[in-house]
Amino acid sequence: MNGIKTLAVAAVLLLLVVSVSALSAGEARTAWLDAKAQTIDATATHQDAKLQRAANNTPENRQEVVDTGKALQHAALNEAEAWLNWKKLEAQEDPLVSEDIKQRIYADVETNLNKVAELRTEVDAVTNEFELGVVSLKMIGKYFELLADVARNVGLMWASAGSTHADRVAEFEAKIRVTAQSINASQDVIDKLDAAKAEVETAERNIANAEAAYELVRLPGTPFIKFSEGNSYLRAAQANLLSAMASLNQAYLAVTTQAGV
Amino acid sequence: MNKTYLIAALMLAGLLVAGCTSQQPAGSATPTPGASVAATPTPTVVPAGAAVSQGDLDALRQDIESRQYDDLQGLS
Repeated sequence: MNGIKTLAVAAVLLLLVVSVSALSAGEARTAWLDAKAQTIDATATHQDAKLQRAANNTPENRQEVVDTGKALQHAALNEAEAWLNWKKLEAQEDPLVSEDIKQRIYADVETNLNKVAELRTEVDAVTNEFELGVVSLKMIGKYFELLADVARNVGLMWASAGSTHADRVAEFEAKIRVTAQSINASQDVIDKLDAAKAEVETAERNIANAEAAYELVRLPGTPFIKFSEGNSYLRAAQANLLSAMASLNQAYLAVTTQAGV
Repeated sequence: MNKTYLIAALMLAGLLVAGCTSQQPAGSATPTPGASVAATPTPTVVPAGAAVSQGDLDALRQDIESRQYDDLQGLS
């Protein structure tokens, strides 16, 4: 009977491993967003339990605070785990990420998944409100530690991909400009190319600022704020590059029509 | 004997004429009116812009667009 149980557990674990490894980065991101929503729900449930205990301090209500508190801590760990899995797959799937950065991210993710597993054991061992409070404090400290290394490397990976994009847009702009000049294209085309070039230059500055912010995703400090700051710069760079691409597209159409290509 | 020399000289002259005819440049032949003549391809200068295709531009735009920079909230 025990043998069958062991086999069943092994089969379930194997299925879990297969299903996780079969996820795409997009699906892993959705899984992270779902986990995040569950943490929000678990927080609300735990708050309700605390209010109930405050109104009526019975042993049942105290136990409910412990149970919902443990559920909240597990939800937060699920969220961290889902984020780490997503970051790993994102790096794995991105052709613009160098093998060196990929390996660094895989190692960070592995280390931090082990930390999540250790914290789960501590959460499982909680039996009363005092222990719950101790583990909560420990988790808040650990949570930053847990995600800071990965967030820093992921940010630098995004900045590197952004830089490659900016180089490609600049390369296309230069090629189209050569053709535009060789066929004496209209001033309107040159203006479009100039606008694209200016946007690329602004994007490059934003990417450099993002890189500087990501470098500060460290402890002690404010890693999540710096991570968010880096992201804002990259979103701005993304808008600059898309604007440059729109100008390039118009210039390209005008040039190819005039050149009869 | 003279006949033999005469025949050999005639054969050599024939061979020489045949050789010269086969060495004429192909382009110098006058085309027969109405006959189809293969068009010589005109060398074209491909503009550098043509090295960039619409597909390249679309692929790059899509890749830039697809990037998502999600923040972390910490313990939510």
